[in-house]
Amino acid sequence: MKAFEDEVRDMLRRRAEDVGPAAPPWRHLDATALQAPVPDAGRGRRLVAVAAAAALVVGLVGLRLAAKNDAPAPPAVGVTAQTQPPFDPATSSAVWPVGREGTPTSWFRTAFEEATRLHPPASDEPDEVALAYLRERFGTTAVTLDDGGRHDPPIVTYRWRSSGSTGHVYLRRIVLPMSFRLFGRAWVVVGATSDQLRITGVRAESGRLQFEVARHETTAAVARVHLPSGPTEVDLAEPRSIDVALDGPATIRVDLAHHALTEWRIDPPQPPPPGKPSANLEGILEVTPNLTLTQAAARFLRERFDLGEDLAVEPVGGSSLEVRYRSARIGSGTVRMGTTEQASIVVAVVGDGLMVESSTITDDARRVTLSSFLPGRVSVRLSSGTGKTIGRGSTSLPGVDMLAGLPVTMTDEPDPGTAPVAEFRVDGPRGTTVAVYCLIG
Amino acid sequence: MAMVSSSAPPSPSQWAPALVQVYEARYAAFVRLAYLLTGAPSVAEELVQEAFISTHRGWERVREPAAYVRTAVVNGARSWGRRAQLERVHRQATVAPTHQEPDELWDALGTLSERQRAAIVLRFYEDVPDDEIARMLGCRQVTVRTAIHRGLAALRKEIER
Repeated sequence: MKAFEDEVRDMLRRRAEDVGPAAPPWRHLDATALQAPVPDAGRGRRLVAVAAAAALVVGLVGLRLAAKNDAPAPPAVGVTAQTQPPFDPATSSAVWPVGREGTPTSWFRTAFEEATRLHPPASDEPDEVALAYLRERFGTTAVTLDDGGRHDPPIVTYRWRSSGSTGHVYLRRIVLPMSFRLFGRAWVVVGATSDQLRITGVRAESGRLQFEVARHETTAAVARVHLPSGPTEVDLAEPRSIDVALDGPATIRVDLAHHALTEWRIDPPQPPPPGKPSANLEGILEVTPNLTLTQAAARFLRERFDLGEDLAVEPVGGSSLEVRYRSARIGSGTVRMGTTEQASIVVAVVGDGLMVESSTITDDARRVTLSSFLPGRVSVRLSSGTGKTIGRGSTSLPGVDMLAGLPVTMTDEPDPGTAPVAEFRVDGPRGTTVAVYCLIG
Repeated sequence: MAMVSSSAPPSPSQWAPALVQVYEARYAAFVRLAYLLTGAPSVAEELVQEAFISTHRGWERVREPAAYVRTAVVNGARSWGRRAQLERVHRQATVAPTHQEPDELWDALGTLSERQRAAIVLRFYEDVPDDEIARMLGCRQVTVRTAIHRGLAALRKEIER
């Protein structure tokens, strides 16, 4: 046995040499500290966590540009010198995550990490990111920010100026969900507006994206509308209408060369994909004797979420132990069930569009990494086996293709021997969705 | 441009010098330990970073920083291992090989329970005494000895297949 123990020692030493990390520089260690939950910190200090591999402009084909010589001028509303952008900076997807265009979803993790490593400025100073974005977009360094910005965590808004044009640029603070060793804070640009451009009549529905472009207090004759195939110039003598096919997320991006820019991302409404729970679904939420799977699922949902008649349930059918549900109050999703000879078991409620990638526990905190197809405010409440709340967390999720690391502040100890039950909830412009299951770890 | 920060981030100077020292001196060693405990190089660094964060946060109760970080690494690895094990069971998937070169003993290590694996790595790689392993794993010394004995037997059996 002694010889075998030596074999094990040798193997371990040999394998330990497989990894040879160098201690990251102080900047990284310092950055990680920024993510540690701060006791008594207000919501403003909870770092919004969005790892951003943002959107490609997808499926814009069949551009149709038409002069509107006969049409009346569009109403004087839209993106001008306004304080409110035509998008919600708290939930809108990024147009420029950390120094370059978004990366495809399938490349998400590695591509994003590559981007953060190789393409500065994945900076923790929002003004650096704002300037880098504007300089890249304008192709010139002659861009300035007027002031220190308006800070409304996690959003920072700057007034920009370039060649006589002015506007606003909007950034949102992010935290990488897993690779936090790289940056404690980083900033993504979620949009920009120009006082010299009016974008009106934006509609994204029925497979079409439509909007109108007009100039405002400028003599610029031509605007560039950016499409996947490249920028297309349109004459601004009259307001121009844009009508393109829309098959997925798209970016509205219009500029006057080198001195005005309006850009934000459109995530058209789509049915959310099936939700994804964290890996383990071995916990039990409720055991109900003498009810069918569908009856037990409906009862659980009604009691948990105080639903009345506003609930439709139907079994998936076949040999499946799943029940589909739909409600105006909690959206749609699947109840995962188990069964014994005498009872139906509710294992999990998995709302459509809410994906929980992982959950981790440290000594005094828990971190959940999740993404949501539905933009909005996501919150999680952890409760003990007896229903007592033991932790909470919330953040904003920008929606499609985004991940967020959600720090959960633990307020009490879990009951020994029982897994905490996590209840997720996303409340946003597209409604509410929920998920409930045990987080074992 | 002068910036108005929206929060008050701690600066490096706010970290205890002793923790800095451990970080600079032992970071790589802890990553290697985490790797042996998990078998996943990408996870190892994450765990060590988490361990340092945890140590920093709990600094008031830290007596021996290096030991504290090491325990945090072990605990983190065990938590990760439990989740990974559950995930494998749930998905009925096999563990992806992390190396091209065949190494039966290394592969066999991956079949052990997280407690057996931790006990064996701590004993035979870190040379940690049984009582210390027991404290780290939150069990009795006899349990540690049993875990090591059974773990070695399982390794031997696995490679003799």
